[in-house]
Amino acid sequence: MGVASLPRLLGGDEMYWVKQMKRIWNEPMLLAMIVLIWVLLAVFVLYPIIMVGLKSFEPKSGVYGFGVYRTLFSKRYFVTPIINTLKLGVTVASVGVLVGYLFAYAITKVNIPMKGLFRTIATFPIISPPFVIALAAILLFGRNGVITRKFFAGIPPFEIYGFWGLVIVETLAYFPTAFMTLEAILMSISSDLEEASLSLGSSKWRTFWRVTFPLSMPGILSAWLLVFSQSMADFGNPLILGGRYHVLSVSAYLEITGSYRISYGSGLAILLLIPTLIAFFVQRYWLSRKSYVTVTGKPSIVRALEPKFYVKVIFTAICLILVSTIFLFYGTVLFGSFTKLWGVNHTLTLENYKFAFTYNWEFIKDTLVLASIATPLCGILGIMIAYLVARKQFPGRRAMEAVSLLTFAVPGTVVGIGYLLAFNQKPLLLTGTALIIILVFVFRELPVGVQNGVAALYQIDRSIEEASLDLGSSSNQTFWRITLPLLMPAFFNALFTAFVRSMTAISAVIFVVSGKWNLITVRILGAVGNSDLAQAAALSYVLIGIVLIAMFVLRFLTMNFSYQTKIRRAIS
Amino acid sequence: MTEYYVEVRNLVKEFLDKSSGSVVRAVNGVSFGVKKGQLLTLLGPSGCGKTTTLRLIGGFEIATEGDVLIDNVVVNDQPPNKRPTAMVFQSYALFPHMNVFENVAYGLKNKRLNSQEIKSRVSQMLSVVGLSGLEKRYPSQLSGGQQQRVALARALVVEPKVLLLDEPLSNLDAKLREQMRIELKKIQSNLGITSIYVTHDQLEAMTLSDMVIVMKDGIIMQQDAPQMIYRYPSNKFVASFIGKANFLESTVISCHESVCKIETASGAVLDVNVREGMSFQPDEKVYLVLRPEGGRFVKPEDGILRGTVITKIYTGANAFFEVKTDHGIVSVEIQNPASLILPEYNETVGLSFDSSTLSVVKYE
Repeated sequence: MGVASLPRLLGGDEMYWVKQMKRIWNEPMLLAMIVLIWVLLAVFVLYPIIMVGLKSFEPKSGVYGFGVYRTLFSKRYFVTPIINTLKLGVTVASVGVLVGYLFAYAITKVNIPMKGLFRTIATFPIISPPFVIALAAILLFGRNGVITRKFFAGIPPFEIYGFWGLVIVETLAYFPTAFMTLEAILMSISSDLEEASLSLGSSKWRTFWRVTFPLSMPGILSAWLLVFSQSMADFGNPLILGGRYHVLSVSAYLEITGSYRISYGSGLAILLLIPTLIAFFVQRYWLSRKSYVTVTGKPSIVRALEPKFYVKVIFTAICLILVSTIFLFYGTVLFGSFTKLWGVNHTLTLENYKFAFTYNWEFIKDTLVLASIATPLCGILGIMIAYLVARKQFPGRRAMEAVSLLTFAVPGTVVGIGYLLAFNQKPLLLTGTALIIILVFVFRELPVGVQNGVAALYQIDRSIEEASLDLGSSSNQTFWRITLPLLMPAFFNALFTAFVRSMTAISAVIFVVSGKWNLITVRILGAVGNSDLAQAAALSYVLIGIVLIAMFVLRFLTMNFSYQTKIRRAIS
Repeated sequence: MTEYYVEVRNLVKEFLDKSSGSVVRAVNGVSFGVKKGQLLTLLGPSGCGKTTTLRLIGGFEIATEGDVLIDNVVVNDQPPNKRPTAMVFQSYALFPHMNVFENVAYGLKNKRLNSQEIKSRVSQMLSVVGLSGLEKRYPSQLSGGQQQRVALARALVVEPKVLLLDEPLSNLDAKLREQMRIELKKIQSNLGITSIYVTHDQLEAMTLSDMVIVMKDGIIMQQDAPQMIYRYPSNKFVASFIGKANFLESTVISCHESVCKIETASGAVLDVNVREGMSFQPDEKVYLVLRPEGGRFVKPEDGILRGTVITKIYTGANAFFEVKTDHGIVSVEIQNPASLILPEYNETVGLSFDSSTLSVVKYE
């Protein structure tokens, strides 16, 4: 194959670019879509984050400089949360990945009983409000906790408010992320490889350390970085359970809402942003390429090798302990939501729910309305971006993908402060409106749609769309008749995830809620703050209930509107 | 106006190779034409640019340079949906969410025909490809061969000016492939549709085509009718890619009209037919192309080569031999071996070749 010289290359490339543009001009719809999406991403993703950055260089209104950062790095009051956050992140990531690996290994490689049940329970924390576990910890181990009272005569066995409390709670909340990442990786390691090692004379122990473990290393690092970012960005748990252990997200929040020092809050937010951004880019653009496992689309064969009995017992025990802890925590909150006064009077009552549906009804209604408006917008926008990114050639395609996935990496606290700063003056005066909450929901959950969509599109053979073009459909018609129907399952999934995440979100929206438009999660935090634990528990279960209903709706939609079902019906 | 219905002029397609950052020319100045109603095959090993050429004609890639003409119209700037082409994809690319009828009707709906007409044309086409009665099936319920037929019907039903086929049979098993090959040829010639066919399978190319183009590294090596390509390969690559070939270094003694007298490295002097218009200079070094199926065994002192049998494989219809000579290992295929007395393993033999299977290519 000939390699052209450089001048020719430049000339040819320019020509090619012109030709590319010419084709885009010929499809005005496509051009309009690209422009529209760029405007939206610029205004609602990039601009708020840039505002946070700018604000952190403005110690006093009108004065610019490094003053904020000088203070942040010299005053103990600020240095402590920086160190605390990193310490917590590293600990939670390490413990979470260890637990996640054991769990994933047990389910994929050791033939333990009740795999399906274990799996389902392990995903509880993902779809429930993040601070339910913190709430449970207080109900169990707090000063009025049942365990504290029943077994330790009212003296807490250890301080649940603080570092160790947070480690326990965040590990339980975020190990499912590690578990799911590692499960996928372990599933993709064909057991042929392990059997080959065994047949060449290695013991199972040696096979694990020489074959399975090295192959899963990229997944382990990946999972570690994901959990690390989640812990760094966590806001709800540290706010409830932090006590005197301050972390960045909470400090930033308190600086802004408590002390009205927006510049310092912004500075803290930027310090929070930097490590999470690094983690995100390392995970996404470096680690993902390191992976030894090639995804061929053909599922690799995973046979669980029948392990020795004691191995099976050990792994089953580990899973049982973990799952029963999750059960205990969620059960405690459920029980708490039906009691009169936790720790004192455990008479069962429906009062809390009655209260939730009367006095707190506004919060429930607002949350439902706002999330229901935001979710379809988010899903449609996400799928549109996914389509452009995965299927169309245009200048700036990669950048569009990166920006649309950015909010995955950006902690909610940063987004919240950004929206607060960016949209409090004309012409974009949105503070206090329902719209600003909707926008936070849409753009915060946008990556869900984009990722689901891109993944699904890569699985659809490109020539299917080419065939449609070839047979006379325009690229627009092809999208509606071919691509979209095939994307439906991914689309519904994105809707569900975006909805659940919006319903349970706290860290970003807490900055943009108002007296007029407020959310359940914020109300729950308030209730915990007022030590109204029973009400917090009841509201948490109202949220969980809504999420479960959403799950059934999703099931229903997928059953009725996906082409796979249509085909299945045609067969039977 | 040209005599061709589809014409490609000096087509160039460059890709940017992301890993090395260099520009790769997948198609490097390709020109050819197809007459109306004919089937032309682009044949070559993977990476030779044949599929890219086809996709350029279909409009799925934008050419770096060059023109594509269909029925005397330059279609360079037309997107695929505006071009009068229809493609049968290697993966079939059937719409998984549509049944057979909907798949085949898809292109007709784009032409805004009324449903009565669509219905009759679809069912007519389905009967042509032998799928009547399977209208309600979904692609996932069909066998590979049936999927192949749906893909063909879907492309044919829109009555394109040109049918493009991208290795359409490569996903079928050997038996079915042979059967579909014959059927495809029948359908194509019955409908008289101008077609361009891409394959790496020389047997497919030979059976189906009116014209074969052999490509390598983005360049056309030879374009000819199938029998000409086989009889008079234009170079060593074509000779070895089309059929099997042994090469024997030789020197031209003299050429007279279309016959050259050559002396082989083994010392034999013989007359070989060359293609009209081809010329070799006296003393020029060439390869003598020996087709295995043209070989026969003679006494060691006769023949143009002598050697020892090192392989003998009997396949029923054929017997396959490898003979170790001073000028390399030469393979020989004997048809209908049962009727002959054949040499044994380790036996010293002489080799002679039927003069109608001999040809000469340039030394390289």
